[in-house]
Amino acid sequence: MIMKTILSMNHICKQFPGVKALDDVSLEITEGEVHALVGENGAGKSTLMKILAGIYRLDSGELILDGETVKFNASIDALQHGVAMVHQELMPLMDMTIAENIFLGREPVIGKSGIVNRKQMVQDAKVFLDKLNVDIDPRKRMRDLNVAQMQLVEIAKAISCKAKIIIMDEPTSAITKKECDNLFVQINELRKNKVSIIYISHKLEEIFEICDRITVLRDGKKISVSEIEKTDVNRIITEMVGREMDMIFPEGTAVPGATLLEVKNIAIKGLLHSISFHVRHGEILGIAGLMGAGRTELAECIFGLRKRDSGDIIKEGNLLNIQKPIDAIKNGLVLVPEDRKSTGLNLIANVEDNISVANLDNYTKYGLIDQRGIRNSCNDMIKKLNIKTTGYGQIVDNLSGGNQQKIVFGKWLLTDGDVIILDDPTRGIDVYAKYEIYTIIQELAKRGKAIIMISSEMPEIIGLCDRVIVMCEGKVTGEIGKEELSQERIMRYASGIAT
Amino acid sequence: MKKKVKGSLAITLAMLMCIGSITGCGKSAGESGTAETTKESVSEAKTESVTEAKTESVSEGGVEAPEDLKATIGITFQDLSNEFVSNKKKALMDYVSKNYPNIEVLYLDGAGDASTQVSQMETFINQGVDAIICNPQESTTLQPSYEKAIAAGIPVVSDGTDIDEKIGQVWSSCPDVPGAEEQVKYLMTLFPEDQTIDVAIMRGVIGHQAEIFRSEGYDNVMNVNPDKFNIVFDQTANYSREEGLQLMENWLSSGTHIDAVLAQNDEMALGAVEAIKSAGKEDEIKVLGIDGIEDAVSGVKNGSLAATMFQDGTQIIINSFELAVKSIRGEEVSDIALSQELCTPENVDIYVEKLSYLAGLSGN
Amino acid sequence: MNKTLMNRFSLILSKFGIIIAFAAVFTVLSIATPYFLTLPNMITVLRQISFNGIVALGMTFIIVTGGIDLSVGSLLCLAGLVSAHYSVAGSGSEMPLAIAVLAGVLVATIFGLINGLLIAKGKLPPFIVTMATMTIVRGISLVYSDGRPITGFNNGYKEIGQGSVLNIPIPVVIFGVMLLISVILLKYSKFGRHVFAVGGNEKAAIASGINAAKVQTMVYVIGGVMCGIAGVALTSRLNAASPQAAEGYELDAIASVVIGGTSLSGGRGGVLGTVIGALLIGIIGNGLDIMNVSSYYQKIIKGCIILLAVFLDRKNIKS
Repeated sequence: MIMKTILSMNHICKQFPGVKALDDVSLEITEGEVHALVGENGAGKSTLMKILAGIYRLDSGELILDGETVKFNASIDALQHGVAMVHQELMPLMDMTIAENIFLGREPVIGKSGIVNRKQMVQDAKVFLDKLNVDIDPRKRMRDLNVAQMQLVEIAKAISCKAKIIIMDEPTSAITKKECDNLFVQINELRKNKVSIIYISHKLEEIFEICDRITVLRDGKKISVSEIEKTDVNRIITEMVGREMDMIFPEGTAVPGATLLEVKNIAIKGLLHSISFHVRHGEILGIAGLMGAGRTELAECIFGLRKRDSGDIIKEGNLLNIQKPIDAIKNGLVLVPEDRKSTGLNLIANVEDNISVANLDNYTKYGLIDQRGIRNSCNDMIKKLNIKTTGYGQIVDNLSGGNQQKIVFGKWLLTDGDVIILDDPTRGIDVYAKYEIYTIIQELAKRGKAIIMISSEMPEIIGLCDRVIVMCEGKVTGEIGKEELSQERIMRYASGIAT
Repeated sequence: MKKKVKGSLAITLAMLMCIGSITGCGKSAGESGTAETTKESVSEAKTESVTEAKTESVSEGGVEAPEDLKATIGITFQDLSNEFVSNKKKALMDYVSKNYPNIEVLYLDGAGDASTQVSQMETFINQGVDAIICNPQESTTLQPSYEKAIAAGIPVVSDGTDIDEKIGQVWSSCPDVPGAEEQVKYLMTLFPEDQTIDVAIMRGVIGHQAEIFRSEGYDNVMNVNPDKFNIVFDQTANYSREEGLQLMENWLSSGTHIDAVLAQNDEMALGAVEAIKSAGKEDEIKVLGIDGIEDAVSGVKNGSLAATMFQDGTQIIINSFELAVKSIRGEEVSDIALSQELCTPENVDIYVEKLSYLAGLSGN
Repeated sequence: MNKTLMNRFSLILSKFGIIIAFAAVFTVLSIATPYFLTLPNMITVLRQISFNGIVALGMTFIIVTGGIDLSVGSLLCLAGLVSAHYSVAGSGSEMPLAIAVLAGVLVATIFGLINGLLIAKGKLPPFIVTMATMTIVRGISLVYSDGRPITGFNNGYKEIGQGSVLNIPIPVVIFGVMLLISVILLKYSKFGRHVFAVGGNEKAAIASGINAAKVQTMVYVIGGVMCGIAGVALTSRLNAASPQAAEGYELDAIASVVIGGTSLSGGRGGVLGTVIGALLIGIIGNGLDIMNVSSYYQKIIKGCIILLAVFLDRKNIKS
């Protein structure tokens, strides 16, 4: 059966100051297909899609949508032509309702009065939500929804715009497996209704589960386009990074020693119920669980970012008094936070300032900063972590996600803390950078540091950790040793199902 | 949070700039007068004012002793944060306590806002006071309030500034037009007859009632003596000492020759004096002010200021009060215009004494 | 290649734009009237901008943390009144100069501290807090002075605002010293780094171990100190302390900071830019006065420059 081409992006070029984001990239989408777009961070996927969605303007090339050449000057143009985008970083209007968000700018009005017909709006919204199997009252505020639900509302919005192409950017990065399955069901429905989906994701297993074809980008160029059945994960990874990667996880050579940190009975009313665990020198302890299990809150407690109702933190036998982050830092505990943009980095400052900010005391004499000392340390860290940047003076906002994360790492490595808490350290980062970060983690463990790694990515937990504790709804539901680690086991504990 | 700050900051910056340019912080309470009443009342007032009003109050030969008069009088002041106005209030309270022990005076502060004074007048009307004295911030907004009061049978006395229309109120004034005229005329006497004076004019807040009248006074004299004056600068320093200082500094930098500075109030004049002092040109440039505040009178005494026009605030308010008392007693009343008096090195001691009386009064 | 050149040009423009603007205005004024570019006039201008300049230095710290201070005029006024009260020649309350000055500066500093505590610890919005302080302190000034100006200073006090050292007016010297301290503090000290970190992203700063509340309090204290010093100097210069002095001072201070390139959203900027901003505002007033241009046009021009500065500021953030 001949598939009708619904979209052709031909020879697209886009230049930003200092970097050529897209170099003669062509993409072809057929009607009703789920087409994966993969590549490292910085490969150009986001840029290409933003051009398609009308957010950026192309420098050269053409867009042919359903047979006619189109030019988008604003995202409203794209929307009117049936191209909708569900962004990775969702930004709905929090204080408005689901119905209002779906029909933003296209609210049904009463006659010619211009007054919004709320009843109609809610009814129409319900129709689209039902199509997606979402059972929520359209009058609920967005603020009250979780990420997965918000995402589905975005998709509902796209459908309501009669979108022919829906771009999904990292749709499963912030939702649970069950929600992900539901999403795939919806995608299949959309496929049946001849809606095409461009699926951007780092999660290759998912791609192989749901997509028809896959296009690989690297450094702004298109490397390949293949049918899913005719390729495999390893080949895709090779195409993405340009070299064979037969091992996704570096070999860990650290041997765990004595207990370094002990956490006893940490509790917050309604959130955490008496959490206890310990971690040893040179050990990588994983903390697994579903969203909402309380892992981030636990990390924040240990680090002093969040007040706890009770519980002790004991390091090398000494009871620590941690009320604020500075207390934690002084005692050698550091936290690489879940949301690097809001809690990990000062986006308008440069590389040097971000790397040095937690460790200024060591570079201060009589109140004045040792500028050269900081610069040297910063350059060392850039080299050591292989951070892709134009130099210590580059503004951090302009770096890719992976490099930003490395800077956060660098900041904490500089403080030479010995208990390193990582919260989702590789979220939104490309495969190659992930590997580099895994290597760094392994190396830290080898040097005798204790690593506590919170993660939602199973392969990561299984591939890296020596031991894993699983949390569910604020409690520790299980502890698994390296030899017994399996996805099913973790999932069972995470769901609160007794073995 | 930061975005909100930025947004509201932008709006407030705009608002503050608008407000700033309109009101210029009203630093001097200039009194205003109309051209009609001045011509006749000036000559009368000159004799009537200082001596008569005072004697009237102390030894009036009326039917009942005025000291026994029982009444409530409401008074709304322009802006009690202004020294001139607050001196008036102090002088009034002192006068009342000494001479009219049975009269209760309720005073309110308009804080520089005419609409506040409107509500204050309504309060007085509702309270049923026996008379109202109003020292208006401006001359149009209060008209309806005056109408209401007079319709309710409450006599109204305008103190200092009057409203535009004559609707039955009486006015105790210290006219600005003749005062300003006298200032300019005195300036002429300081120079040889055949010399053209290079004069720099410092205006008050443009559009302020006093500024309008004082500028009119200047025009009246200068237009009939065109050869006598060469206006080298004509700008506003918004009644502020600091602005007067800065403006004078910049004028001095310009290299333009200046013989004299005519300032529409003492604060600006005193600022100009500082600048001139710094430049070492005290002997070359004469500075004249208007209002007669304490600092200016000292300035005339020590020679840094050539002259100022003294406004006897104490007398103005006493005149207002007496008009109110007369109205309550049903006697015939007419406007009283008290001249601004030229204060020069020759007669400065009179004014030093008048001011020392005020300095002796307590705050509240 | 052409595009890279353009990009580099726009980068230079945004970084040095304010200096270029200043140079342009300076040149135009120098040509427009021969009396602008003379040594006495330059000294006059420097002295004129010193008072606002000192206040603007403090304001820079505050704005870098993402805050704002509308109370500067009132603090300045009260400091002037208090220090003047203790400096009236031959009066019963006359104190040694150092004590009088200290008293004035201390008063302003205390209110700066109150601002800081309410904003940093009380978590109240800076705009509202400082607007309230502005009104309250203005009222306190009226009560303290009984609505009357204070004059008749002793020679020591007069010297501060009216004297010179090697032909340089003392207010300018004071400004210079405060500038030096500010540069060292903001650019070269650990505290300065903390100020930028808190302004750039408060949450991240806290998560990096910085005591954000302490930093935020300190910048308002610094603001208070600057107001105190400027208040003493200005009062001395005017030879009178008035409860109505310095109304609207916050506008010029904020304008100087914003024109100088410090961003209102915080985390970016510097004191050297503020100095240029203050100078720019100063030479415009001075030059236009010399040329006898009405002060209304001056207001329009000043307003337009602020708009332009904010516009360039936004463009800077976007790029």
